[in-house]
Amino acid sequence: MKNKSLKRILALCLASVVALSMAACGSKESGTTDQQPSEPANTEADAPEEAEEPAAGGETKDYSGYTIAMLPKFKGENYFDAVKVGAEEAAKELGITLLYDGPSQDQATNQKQVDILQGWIAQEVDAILVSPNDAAAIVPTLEEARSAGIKVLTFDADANDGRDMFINQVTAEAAAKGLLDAAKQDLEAKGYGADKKANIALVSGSGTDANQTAWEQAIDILLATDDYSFMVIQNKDTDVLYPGTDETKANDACATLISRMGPGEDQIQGAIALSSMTTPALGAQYEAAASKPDANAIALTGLATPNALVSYIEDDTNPLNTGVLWNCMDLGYLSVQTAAQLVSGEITADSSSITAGRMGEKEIVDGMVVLGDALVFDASNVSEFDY
Amino acid sequence: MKKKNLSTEFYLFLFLLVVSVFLAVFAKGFYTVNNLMSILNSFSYILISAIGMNLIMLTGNIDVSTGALISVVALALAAIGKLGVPFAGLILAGMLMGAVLSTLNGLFITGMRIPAIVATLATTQIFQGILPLTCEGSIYDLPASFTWLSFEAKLFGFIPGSLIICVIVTAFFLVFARYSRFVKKLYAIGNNREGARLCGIQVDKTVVICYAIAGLLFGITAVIVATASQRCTTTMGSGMEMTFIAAVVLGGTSPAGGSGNLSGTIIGALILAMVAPAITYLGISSNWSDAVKGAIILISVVVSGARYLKRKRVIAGAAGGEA
Repeated sequence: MKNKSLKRILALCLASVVALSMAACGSKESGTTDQQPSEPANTEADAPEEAEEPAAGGETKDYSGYTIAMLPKFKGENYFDAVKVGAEEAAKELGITLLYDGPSQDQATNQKQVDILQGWIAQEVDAILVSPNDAAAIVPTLEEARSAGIKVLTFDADANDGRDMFINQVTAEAAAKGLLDAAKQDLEAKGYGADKKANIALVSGSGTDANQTAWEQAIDILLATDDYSFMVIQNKDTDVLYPGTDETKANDACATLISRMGPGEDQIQGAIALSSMTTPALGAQYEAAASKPDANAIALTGLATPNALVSYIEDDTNPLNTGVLWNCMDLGYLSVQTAAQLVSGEITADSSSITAGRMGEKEIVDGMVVLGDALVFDASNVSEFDY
Repeated sequence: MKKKNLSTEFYLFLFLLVVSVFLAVFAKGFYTVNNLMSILNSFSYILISAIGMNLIMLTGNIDVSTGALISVVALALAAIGKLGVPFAGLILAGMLMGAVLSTLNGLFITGMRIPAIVATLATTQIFQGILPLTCEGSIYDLPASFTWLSFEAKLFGFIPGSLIICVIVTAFFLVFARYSRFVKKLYAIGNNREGARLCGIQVDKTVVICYAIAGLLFGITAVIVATASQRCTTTMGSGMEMTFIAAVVLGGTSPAGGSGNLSGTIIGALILAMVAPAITYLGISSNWSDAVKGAIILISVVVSGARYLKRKRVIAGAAGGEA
């Protein structure tokens, strides 16, 4: 008897799952059909564009009613949390609604981002800000959003195509220069230079990330110049690491790297991490190492938020002495400002400058707004930042 | 008769020895204290859970939710660790949570008569589903009290704390497996579930307790993995269950249950912990490490399968003859 009732419960569960999934399909279909009525809604969204002429003279513009959606590569990590703070600041200032969502770190894939974007396209938001995990694979979805009348902007990392504007935190050349300068500064202080070469290793991320790819290329170009030629990548197969976006894998890869570091010619003297996840992992794995390589013989640096590195930078015995970043909060702020003004029609992709609230005027080149140069922080100023 | 004693463990040990010598010759710098200790650290967290997985697999069951379970426990540990709870509190909490969640698995399997792989697949989804609801991806900027195990705890200044925990746990289970009647029941259930029941073994109760014990061990792994750095993401344990299962299978435990022992699992875990660093030290791209791990497991399963078939044939052909 007990078995029979169990079976009944199971059957009921199955039936409800089937019913639910059908309902889900149904709502998806209605989602796509929604796009026909979305056209009138779009003209509504476009309406302020025409009404903007008289308002343009006035200082205070009414952005209320705009919905801007922001999609980071992943949620819940110092870097994008800081971007979010800046974005919220701008949203509050402008009185717009900000939607913020993204995949979790392990699921930082294109597919998850597409799922979220589809939801926003169906909701008919006014503008979408994306930091794509995959610069090529995201393009069809961005095109879809644009054809639904949504303004599409990329921030932090660009897509290959399909966006109206790109808010770039730093050019690849400037980022590469910042990273190499940080490593150079530390390595030179430890006695390396033209007559004593240093082997370096790069710790990248997933390998499909547009930023990291561009930075790697820019680093390669800079390493060939006289200023940086004392730093050498010996073997691209083993000295450029791609541990992905998983914390445990990043830790394990960095632990192995640390054990390969030291003053010897067949060892590695400098490690540069290209993601805000792997840089702290370098610091942590140095702390965890059983017999630590001499801190005066090696240098660790990389991109990360100051808060993630502060304990290592302030620790004299840890060779992680510098970090590289830009102002993340300003990046969020500038992104939302640009998106709002693009929706209102104050600027277009062809404009040559934007007045972005507290940040003043920024140049626009070929639809790209650049935040500024990379920022190298060390023990002298790391505590001044709060993100 | 002596030939029969050449067990899976013996061949594994031989393999390990050959690989070690090979690495000494070709992988320069592999045998530095630093690298060895970092390998032993991964070995520790793999082995502790593999012991638990071994107990489960002896009964002919399996647990594919372990990775997700470890992620849940790790994140919960980070949440309480953020409040400055010291290591003793963390490890107790970790073991407790691990045991509770794993017991749930055991209850699903025995109570609802669901095959273990289906039940634990379902709980994997549940565990993974809970995480994004509780936090936005990660908890970071964790205090020094949280990272004490990996940063500070070093015996003689270089032996990692995780290894000490691992040695204690392994020693305990080596003795436990030899002398306890409980473990013998697990073998009995794995060999012949119905027979075990008829012999008076409370099969369901034993399986649930087995999952609970394994959960304690998964909790310890979660502590080691979580405290490795100042940040805990929702995916600390992702994919680890496969490494644990691999260590157990590589160690000669039959996935069908009823045979295999702990010493094989120990060597299996050590081999798997060595693969990734060894590949880097040999100058090969680390992208190869998963493929190499897979190949090692496949070969080991095929070899042990072939030996099993051969033995069966010999026994069938000349019953009682020299095997």
